[in-house]
Amino acid sequence: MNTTLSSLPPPSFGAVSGDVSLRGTGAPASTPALAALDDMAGGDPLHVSSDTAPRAIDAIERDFLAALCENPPA
Amino acid sequence: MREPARLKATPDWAAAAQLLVDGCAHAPDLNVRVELLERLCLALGDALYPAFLNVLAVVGERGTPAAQAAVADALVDALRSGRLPAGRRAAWGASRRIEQALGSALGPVEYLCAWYAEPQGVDRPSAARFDQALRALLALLAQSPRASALYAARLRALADEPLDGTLSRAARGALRALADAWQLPGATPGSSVDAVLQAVSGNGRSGFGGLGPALVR
Repeated sequence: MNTTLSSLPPPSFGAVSGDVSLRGTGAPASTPALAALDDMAGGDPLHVSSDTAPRAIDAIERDFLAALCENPPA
Repeated sequence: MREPARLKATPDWAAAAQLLVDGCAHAPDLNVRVELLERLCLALGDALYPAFLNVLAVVGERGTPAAQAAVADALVDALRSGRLPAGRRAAWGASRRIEQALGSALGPVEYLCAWYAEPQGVDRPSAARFDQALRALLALLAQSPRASALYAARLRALADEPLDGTLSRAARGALRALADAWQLPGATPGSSVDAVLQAVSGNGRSGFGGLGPALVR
């Protein structure tokens, strides 16, 4: 069966990797990133931390990906 | 080649938002702030750009004014330098050629509006969810005095530019409605979002009318 991009649906919100999944077919590609807002509404406020030492962008990026992704770079 | 990032089943949005807040607040200068936004956005990739958008919305919803201002100022710096963290959606009406599948990169506000307004979109947010997310983004940007005028101008430019099919007519109408409402005297995030919802609803999408109490404020 020939599958063309035009036969696939538009991309899913939160779709995972790859050309096909970008088109909305990746399993559980419809990971609803926005749905988390519902869970966040009653959480603690986010403050600017009092630790004023700037961190390296590499370190922030690493921790950021670790918070969100199941396959952060080593 | 690095494997594309995959979202966790239960991402720690609060931790990610805190990292973004502190990274922006404690960056030594605007170049570092802008680079930080770029790096975090690129690290997630186009497929997970909505997750980046969601982190911004978490800051907009839960951040203190100082936390929101740190991120909003960074976004304004990025906007002014032409480096707004952006993600690519499939071009509206994209055909079978792969290179046409992804359109131009869109920043957080226009990405969210285009995604909601897209008449053929899959997994698009409900009107209530869109309302919540866009309110959060606009509340975040409201903490920077320069943001609304700059961003409204950007939205108008996008609305007037077909961008090789990235935006549908409905999406461009939504951006124009937002830009206009955002600049009205006394505009609030709520009034601006309502203008978008009405524009999209008037374009054939059900949304504003059938939501019940979710949008009654």
